[in-house]
Amino acid sequence: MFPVSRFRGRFRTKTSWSLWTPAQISTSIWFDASDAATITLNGSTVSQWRDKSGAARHMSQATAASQPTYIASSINGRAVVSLDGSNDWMSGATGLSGSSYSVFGVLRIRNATTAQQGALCNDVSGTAPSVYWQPSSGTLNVYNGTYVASGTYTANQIDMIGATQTASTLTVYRSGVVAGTGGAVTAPNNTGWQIGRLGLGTAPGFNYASVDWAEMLTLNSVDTTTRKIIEGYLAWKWGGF
Amino acid sequence: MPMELVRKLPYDHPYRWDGTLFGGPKLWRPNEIQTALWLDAEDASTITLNGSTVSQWADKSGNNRHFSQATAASQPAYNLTAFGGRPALSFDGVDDRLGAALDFTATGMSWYVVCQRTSATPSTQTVISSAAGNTYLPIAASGNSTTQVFRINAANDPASLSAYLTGVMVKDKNSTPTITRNDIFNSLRNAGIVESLGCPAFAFAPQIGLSAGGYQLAGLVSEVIVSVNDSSTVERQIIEGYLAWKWALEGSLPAGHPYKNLPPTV
Repeated sequence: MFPVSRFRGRFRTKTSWSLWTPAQISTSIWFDASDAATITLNGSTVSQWRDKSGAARHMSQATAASQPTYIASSINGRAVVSLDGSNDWMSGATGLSGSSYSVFGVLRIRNATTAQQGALCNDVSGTAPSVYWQPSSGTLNVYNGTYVASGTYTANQIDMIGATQTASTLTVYRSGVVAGTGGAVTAPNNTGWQIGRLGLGTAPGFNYASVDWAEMLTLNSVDTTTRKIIEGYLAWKWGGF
Repeated sequence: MPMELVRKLPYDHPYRWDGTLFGGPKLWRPNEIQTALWLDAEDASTITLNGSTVSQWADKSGNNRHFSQATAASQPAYNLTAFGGRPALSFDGVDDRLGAALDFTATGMSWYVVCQRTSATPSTQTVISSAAGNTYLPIAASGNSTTQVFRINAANDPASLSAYLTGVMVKDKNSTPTITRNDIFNSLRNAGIVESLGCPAFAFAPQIGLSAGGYQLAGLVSEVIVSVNDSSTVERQIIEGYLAWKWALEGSLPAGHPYKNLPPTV
């Protein structure tokens, strides 16, 4: 949390003044690495990352060797869940339904390698939505049945990604700026999420990602006003001061 | 790094400048002070395009000192990413320039410019000048002349074509001007680098990109701020901090600068 002395902004509710957080909207999942209370450690690795949406769609990894590392002070001095790009991954339920949804997150892909790196993906091969780094183009892509590039991604760049899918259009945002659009729609597969790898499961493998996840959340829809508030929240928390 | 994500938000994003809803600060901007001129390439609403070139760069100070160029061939280009991935007006080093009306009559004022050469030639380049040729703020000046009021010696010019802040503070029309570059004025002054050839009355028709002496700018200009008086040290450092953090030049601020580690807030 921000130091008390910096609690100058207030969001009025019926009962109190409080800072805006995603708790004030309806999220399908909400993972926040800076909230240590949501992290279950197995030594220095993470066996469970608990969902703050209220729906208990926690992500977990029972195999110790595949558990990501918890780094207490990383992006903007806050904690991240760090996946090694070798065999780390976690999975949980999506909670998405219908063909409209939105995904937001702050992440850092540490290495530029020759393979695709799945940062946040559906856990069934070829199903949407997915966020991954594409080596052939050097771009951060979002998949919704087709692949929408969102501009060049440089290794170790701290980035805020957003994607809103309506019945007809996928719009991808980088730090609040429209970075790509696509028209095709694949309804989200609700069998589950995984972070740290693509859900291909076939050659050349799972496409593990060397990615630090700071925060991610999904909604079953989003309006422009809410999108901008989420962007402001993530930008100031992970890339403000 | 502080501000890494916030300053990537679009200029008109509702939370680009104000993070109070999320526990952050409200960032300081030049509208907190009285300015004589404020040109900001990041604010696309102030740019009038003629295709891909700029026919007018509108003043945000409220004084309507808009800089314009009617001749298409002399209009600078507008490039959204030229200045380290950020917007800038790009002057061609040949004949590009923008001019404003003759009404800068104050005897004291302070100029701040975010700029960058993109070519080493011509060796002397002008950012702001008088159309009459007696006043200009050169990025690089290898020569000297009686018409030259401000000069940064070649030895202290940016060795590379790097982006930087430059500032000139005119206390009155006959005093020694104070020149800063990334707030290294003290070292410049102590080294005796600042040239003083006498400062003419600051009543001139300013233009950006070309001086009457023909010292064309082959480079970029992203923001220009003129405060109405010679800035106090506090005000100068606030403006430097604002510009540095906005244009990702904070690394160029010297150690000990009050805004070296965080931008100014209100």
